[in-house]
Amino acid sequence: MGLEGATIWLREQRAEDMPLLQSLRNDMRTQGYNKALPPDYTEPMLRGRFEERRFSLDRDDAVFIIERKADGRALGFIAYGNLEPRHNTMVGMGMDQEVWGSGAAREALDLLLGFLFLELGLRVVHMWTISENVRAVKLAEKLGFVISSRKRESCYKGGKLGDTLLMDVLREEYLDPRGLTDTLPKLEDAPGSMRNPPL
Amino acid sequence: MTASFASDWDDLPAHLQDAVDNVLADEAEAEARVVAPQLYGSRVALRPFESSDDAALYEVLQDPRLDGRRNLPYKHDPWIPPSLHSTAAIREDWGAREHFLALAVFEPASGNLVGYTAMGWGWDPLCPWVNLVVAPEHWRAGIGREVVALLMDFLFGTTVANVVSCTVDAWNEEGIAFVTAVGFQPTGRYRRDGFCNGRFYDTLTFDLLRREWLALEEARSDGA
Repeated sequence: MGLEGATIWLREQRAEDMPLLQSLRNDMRTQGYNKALPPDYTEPMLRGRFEERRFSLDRDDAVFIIERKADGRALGFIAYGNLEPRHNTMVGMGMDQEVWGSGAAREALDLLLGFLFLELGLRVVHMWTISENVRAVKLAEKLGFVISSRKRESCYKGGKLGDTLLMDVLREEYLDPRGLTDTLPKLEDAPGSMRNPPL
Repeated sequence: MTASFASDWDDLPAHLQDAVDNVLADEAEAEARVVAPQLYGSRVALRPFESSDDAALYEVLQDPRLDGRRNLPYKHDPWIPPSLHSTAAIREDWGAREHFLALAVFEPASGNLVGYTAMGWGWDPLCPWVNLVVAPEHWRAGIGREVVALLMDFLFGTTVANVVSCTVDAWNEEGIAFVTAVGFQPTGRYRRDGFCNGRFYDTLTFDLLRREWLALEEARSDGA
């Protein structure tokens, strides 16, 4: 069943999760800075999106529900998309504010990173956030992400212009601190060349 | 029965005709106040692609000096020149995308295609992005600089854009020199964004704020 951590599961979405996803969509503290506005999503809208998902073995995205093992409560979601196989992807998450600071978000992101690097064999994982979202930046930094690009004055929230931040973590930045050995070839040093690139 | 609007209006009673004339005069005045997007430079002009451009676009894309620099839609390999069939598919892909505009860069005098450019803004017109490819035989002729000026005038003059961004692969020294020379500021990088020569490379990110562009324009006009 999904991905198991010490205190949480990352499991598939279910119909009964729709009220939680609806509330996260409509929470200006968690979703208010992006194109998800306005915060007027209905449960049928979320259910429709959920039911539209079709079986495929050629997947480039995923949405997991973060479920607490102790009591089975759904705490939020974590997702990735735009996956380039064996190369990179973009992650995002949303947590019920009641469990902010509990460590569940950190465990969920750590668990997803483990899946992306150790099962899918990715080389780099990206995430977008905004300069105002200090909690997200600090959480990501604890797990090895760094701010790699800052798009200036490109977001607007609460009447203020802010920066859009690109954060990323490289494969070895995930593996090394955890004492994990990388058995994939170190492509940076691989022989062979393509035409023309003046590297 | 067919009749133009003008002939219909000509047949109106005098008191209604006066009202129509006043409305038309107001519209003409309002239209005169609108600054039309200037997509014609001194040497090149920009226009949407037509299917009749496929052969010329195909020829431009075959140049090996463009390897890795073709800025093609996702899933078209930038290192492999596309076939004529793929070129048509690329042009159709450009035309089908929302919040996106791909334009042919051509010389009005000859009609020759000398490059192509694209801009997009996703869901947020506050922060569009641009890219540009100039056919290698026209490199270092000032075409790129003129196209950037047309693009910035268009984006800052006819949209609410506050910042325009672009990306350049870290190995592309000419590209980096160009975007910084026209005013873009370095803002970071996508690490390990691409792979060639057996190595990963980063893609560098740049942006240009509205006020920075306007200051550059003012400085240029002062110096002119």
